[in-house]
Amino acid sequence: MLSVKKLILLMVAFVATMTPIVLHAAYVSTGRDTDVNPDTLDEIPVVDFDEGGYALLMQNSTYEFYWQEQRDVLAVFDKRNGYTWKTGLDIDPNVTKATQATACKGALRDYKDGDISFGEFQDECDASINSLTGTTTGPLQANSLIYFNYYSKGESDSIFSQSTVYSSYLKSSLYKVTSKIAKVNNDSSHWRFTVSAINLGVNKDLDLEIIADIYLSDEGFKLEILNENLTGTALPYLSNIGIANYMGAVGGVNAVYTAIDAIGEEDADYTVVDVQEEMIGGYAFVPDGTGALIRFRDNSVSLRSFKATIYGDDASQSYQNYLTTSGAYVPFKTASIPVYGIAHGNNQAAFVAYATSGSEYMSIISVPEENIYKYNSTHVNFNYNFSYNKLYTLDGDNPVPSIWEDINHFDIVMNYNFLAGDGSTDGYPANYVGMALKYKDYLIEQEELKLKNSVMDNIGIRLDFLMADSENSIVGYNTMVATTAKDVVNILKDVSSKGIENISSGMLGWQKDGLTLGNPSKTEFASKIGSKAAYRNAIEEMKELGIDLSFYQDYYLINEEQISLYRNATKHPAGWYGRVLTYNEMIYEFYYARPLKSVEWLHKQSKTFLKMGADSLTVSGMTSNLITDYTAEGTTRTQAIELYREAFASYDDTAILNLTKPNSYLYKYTDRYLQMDVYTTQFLIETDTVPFLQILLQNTMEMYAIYANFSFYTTHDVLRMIDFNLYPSFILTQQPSYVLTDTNSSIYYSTEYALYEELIEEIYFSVNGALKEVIGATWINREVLASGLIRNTYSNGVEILINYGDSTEMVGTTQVPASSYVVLGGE
Amino acid sequence: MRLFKKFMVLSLSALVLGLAISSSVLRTDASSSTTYTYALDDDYEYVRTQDAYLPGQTITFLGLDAPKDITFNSQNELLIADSGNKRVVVYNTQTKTSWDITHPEMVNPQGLFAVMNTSAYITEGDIYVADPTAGKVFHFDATGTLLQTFGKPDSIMYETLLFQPEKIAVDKAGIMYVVSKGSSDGIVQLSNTGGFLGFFSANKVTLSLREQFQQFIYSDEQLADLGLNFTPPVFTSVFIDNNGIVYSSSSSQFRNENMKKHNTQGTNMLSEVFLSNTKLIDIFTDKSGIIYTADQGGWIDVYTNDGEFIYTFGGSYDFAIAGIFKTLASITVDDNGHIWTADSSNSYIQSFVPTDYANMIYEAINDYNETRYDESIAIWSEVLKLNQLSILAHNGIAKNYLQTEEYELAAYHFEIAGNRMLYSEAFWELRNIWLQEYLLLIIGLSLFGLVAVIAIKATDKRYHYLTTARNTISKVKNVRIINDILYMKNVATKPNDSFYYLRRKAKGSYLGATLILVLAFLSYLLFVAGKGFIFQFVDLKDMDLGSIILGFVVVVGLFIVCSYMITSIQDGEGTVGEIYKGVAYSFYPFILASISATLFSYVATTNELFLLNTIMVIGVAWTLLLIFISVSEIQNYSFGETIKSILLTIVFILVILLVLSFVQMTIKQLFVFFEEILKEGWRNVIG
Repeated sequence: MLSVKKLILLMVAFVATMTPIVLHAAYVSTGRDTDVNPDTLDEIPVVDFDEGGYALLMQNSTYEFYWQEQRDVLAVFDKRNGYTWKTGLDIDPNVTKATQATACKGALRDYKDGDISFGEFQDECDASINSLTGTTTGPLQANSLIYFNYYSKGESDSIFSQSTVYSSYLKSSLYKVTSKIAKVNNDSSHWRFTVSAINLGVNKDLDLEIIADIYLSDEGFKLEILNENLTGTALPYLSNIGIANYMGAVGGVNAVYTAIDAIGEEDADYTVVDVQEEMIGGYAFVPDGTGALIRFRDNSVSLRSFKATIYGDDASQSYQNYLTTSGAYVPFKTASIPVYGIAHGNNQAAFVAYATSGSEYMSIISVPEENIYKYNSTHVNFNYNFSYNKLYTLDGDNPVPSIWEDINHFDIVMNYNFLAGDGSTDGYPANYVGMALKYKDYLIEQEELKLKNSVMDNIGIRLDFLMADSENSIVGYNTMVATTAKDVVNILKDVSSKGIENISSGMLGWQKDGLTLGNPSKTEFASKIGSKAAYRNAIEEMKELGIDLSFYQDYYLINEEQISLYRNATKHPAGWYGRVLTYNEMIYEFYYARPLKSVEWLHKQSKTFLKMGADSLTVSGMTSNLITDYTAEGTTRTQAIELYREAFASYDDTAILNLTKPNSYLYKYTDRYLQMDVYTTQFLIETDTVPFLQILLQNTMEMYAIYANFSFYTTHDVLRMIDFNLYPSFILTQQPSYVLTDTNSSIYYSTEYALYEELIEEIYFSVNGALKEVIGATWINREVLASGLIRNTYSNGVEILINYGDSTEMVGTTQVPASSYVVLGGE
Repeated sequence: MRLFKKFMVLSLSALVLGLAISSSVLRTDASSSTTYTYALDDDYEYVRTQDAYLPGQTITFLGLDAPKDITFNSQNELLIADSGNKRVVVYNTQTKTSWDITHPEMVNPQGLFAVMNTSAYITEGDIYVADPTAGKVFHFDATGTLLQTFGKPDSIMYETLLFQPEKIAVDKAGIMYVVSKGSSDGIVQLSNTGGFLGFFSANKVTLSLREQFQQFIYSDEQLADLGLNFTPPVFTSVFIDNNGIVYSSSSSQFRNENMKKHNTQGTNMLSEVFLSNTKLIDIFTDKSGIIYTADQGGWIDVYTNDGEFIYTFGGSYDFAIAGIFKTLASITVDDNGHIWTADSSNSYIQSFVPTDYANMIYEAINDYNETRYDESIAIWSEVLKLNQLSILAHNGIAKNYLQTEEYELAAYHFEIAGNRMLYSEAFWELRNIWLQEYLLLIIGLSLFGLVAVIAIKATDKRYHYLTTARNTISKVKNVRIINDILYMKNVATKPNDSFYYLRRKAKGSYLGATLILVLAFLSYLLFVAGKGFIFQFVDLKDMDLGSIILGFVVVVGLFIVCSYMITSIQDGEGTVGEIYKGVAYSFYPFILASISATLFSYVATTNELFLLNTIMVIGVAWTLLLIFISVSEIQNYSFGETIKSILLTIVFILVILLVLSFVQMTIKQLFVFFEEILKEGWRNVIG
């Protein structure tokens, strides 16, 4: 019977070296796992659109769109599940704690005077008022569709502080805002929302107008703020614009007013108790590293918010002209995709929001409960200007805080798509998987991603080589060689002889002076590492074995010992070269290559590499970082993206592109995604790790995990590769790693091939056992059946069950042994 | 430590400036954890290693307010001293349920101790709570019922002292060890009825020479400004393990006082260990004796039962990231080996799960302690695969080999680990074995050699077959330059006559003197950089060859020049050339000693260190004596005049050095000034 699934592959018993030594009774999930589904919403909240000042903007087969003019709230009623999403909390700012207290006092007085009955007292007084109404800006912040921050000068010209303006109305002595919505061209799917603010700034002489176009459709809605639609004298001071601050926010505290009856009228009173709104099941998804969920939790301690700049912070738009990294902590993961989402309930209602323009200036902010207003809220904002330390003196002392002379120019286009149900009807379940699949389909539609449907029989493996690096010597530097071109050939032949297929390989530190000091603008070879001829032969020889050998190069971080900074390094607005101080052995001060230069060097080196017979290019640094260059021939982040896209597009037909942690604008050109994150930054508020990035990109490119050498080699890690659909990767040397002890490469503390020979084989065949069954198929669902027990479903009918726990689990009639996996289905 | 300093400076500057880089700028961020784990290399510098622990559970929902201490009870429930909420929370980490212990008098619980085993004096499950504000120790049973309260001990000895219990531990006899806030007298020892038994151990102040000098000349305010505090450090925590061994932690500049494993008399058994971090706030040991410490800087350090440093991880930044603390307050470890910590500023509990790597290390240590050497070696070999730079593993494996009497392997691994002391032990054994094996042969060969020499000499007298060889040697010796150099032997044995001939130009030459100086320098370099592993503390590549050359040339050169200048105004008769020759020809004993000591260092062990030092002392002293005689002879000085002349020469040398360093500093600053201007112009105008 075709419908009967057969067990085609069984548990892979890992060898003793990969078996955990300590066994635990039950699997306790941590922030690095995905926990079981959130609680189901028993009741779907009903909104009465006939009351409450709503006006219907438009309806289609899926949605009804309403506008609450007084509060600037766009409400989207999803006909599929009856769920209503609002861009703000929709709080009546006129009913405040103060007005309710007055009402209660008045009613109490009347009751005590015998003018009204207790029932009437109750009718007047009993109420639940959102605590946000206790502050002036609370309801405005919670309701407003748009807010913006601008810099205002303090008493001294040099002191800049930020003030927030909410689009919802406010008449005060400080400033005045008016907002209105109007249909455009009599098209009910296109509305224009105009926010005008006057009396801004210390002297109240600044104004700003923001025009946002809202497009309503079958997918949800799209909000556009074009660069040309920002006008006013306050524009140079504009810091950022935030959108739908409280959309999908959960939590909050209500002040509950209760009338108290008493035997004697004198004892009658009323009470006010703050009651935390019960948390509903659900979470916010944020693209931190591989993807993180922030579950709605009633925290008892105040924790810092999550804030991530999409494509990483811009080192040129930071306060100081230098950044410092510490050797203590692992660098934060980058948010490489401009997308976030919120799910309410268990596969019931969700939305996914993504930028299709302006993502290079976008940040995602998630505020945990217990902070300020006791809500879990997540939203996006877009950065226009920034403050920085301007330097005037030679030694950099006495810097003057300043803001830059011009804002970032870009168009904001944010899409909000809504998901309903478990995905059985449209394939998009209302959870993070649905969010990923929805965004994936959008990218496929835009031809930014293309389904690969690979026909490989086995998975790939990435084996990088660390060739050489420099160390200090009595005079100058000494190049320490850990692997030669000949060694690479011998090792790869050996690996290949074990039956491992689809090997791709990059060589780090292949050129003269090695990894840290090798000049990225040149292709100089050193015979003690490998002459040009030796490399050419190596590439040729490997080709015959079906192995792709390429040269690795970082075109982003440079140092003064490696290349002149003049005309090569970016400048910070402070007037100095931007730099980063790292915790490294030899060279610890790095600068950033100008995007124009990165591209120039890429072309220059690639020309040689391709001539030498290389089929692929391995690029790092410029793939995962974006920087503004403030030199005379400078580039913006937007221009840098265009430069990079153009550069990589030129190799689309001529070379395979192996890109290290590419940002989303490079997906179109990426053939192999290297060093893919498997974790999040692990902020305290992040409750789960999910393979969002992997679901998004699976079957569109080969995805390789972080190097297994460094704390990613255990059974648990192998299971994670299978769970996250990642192919293994290693970094290897012929010589023991201690050869490089005094070089910057000392961070690669365990690389000798002789030590990894067996592990490479074990891990490859373990991962291959599962993932070769789903090559060319699309990952369509991921479920957490129990803590530590995962089921991944692919479009070819294959299901992979992964058990991270230390005890055998049953899934239906299938037994999944401890710390193992089972592949079900397929032909 | 150079690297560590840089690392600390960078960390500190990041903290001060509030800067954090959120994108990955390093070429690898491969790690499952949020912080890197660091171990030591053979130069005692920190090196990255595989993650030892990964962040586990983060508990933010217990409503804690400034938790100050945590510990597990015998039911594996976590006790939390929730100081801000005046309660002790009993939290079940499996069921995630909790209940509270409160008492009206308990207002600021800061220290906890849970009784793990019942004895005649204490009952399993009982909880002791230290409360500095109440000035009491509360004794609860497992259900949270108050059994006893202990206030300030009623003793004349304690009369003038404050009793503010911050931390507490209790031994099997019910004796309480109490850390009283701010007390530098020691750990307060109370009987099970609360009677004062005395102070158990006290921290000492150990001052360096410089600090002693500073203490002598500075006022208290000035000392405080310098950050120097010479009052004995106060204890920050006390812990008693299942075997009744008392451990304590302190936070001070006196490294040896900060982590202590006390014997019954209170003496520290870990006085000479490497301490990774010094501002300790808590200490814990697990069943195997592994020591865990928590540092105010957010570092968690792990040591073996002997106090050998294993690794450190953590850090203190206000990032709200699992595994990075705002204020690390307490540490404990559960039965599964999971570390649990409390952050008193962000008021949450964070657990850490050991990785396979950490578990392997603990198992290898345990196997060694329980004499399962082969098993231990096998595990250490696996550890080495995961980190080839791990000196802990090399040391661990070598210690096992030492026990299994595989000395060559032991010596090999000790050498990689830079463990000179134990290498010396292994080498001693190897030398012993070699001697035992070859002693008879050596004696036999020596005797044979002796007989052969006597025989040759005797027969040569009759047959003269060695005449040709003798003549050749004689010819070589008579080559002028060789003869000139060899004359230094005469200088060493008959200095008075020899310096006379040297002065009269009858013997020796400038070229000879120069070559002797070169030889002296080379033999000095050999001694400095070429000794056997046991005595060679600095690698050649870490040496500044320029400074060594410059130092030698400057010292010798300055002495010659200054000596000439001084003697010329003191009626000295010698010329500068004669002084040059005199000094150079005095170096023979030094050359001989340097070469002999270097050669000897290859066969000596630490036991023979004295002998090695003696060789060098004799060589140097002899050379100095010869220089003294050379001054006396060449200048024709009396003993007193010579002493006066040499002392003046030394003073003159010091003055010149001072002036030179001043000139050098000024030139350097001038150079930096122009360099900065050029750079600035280049960067801002052109670049």
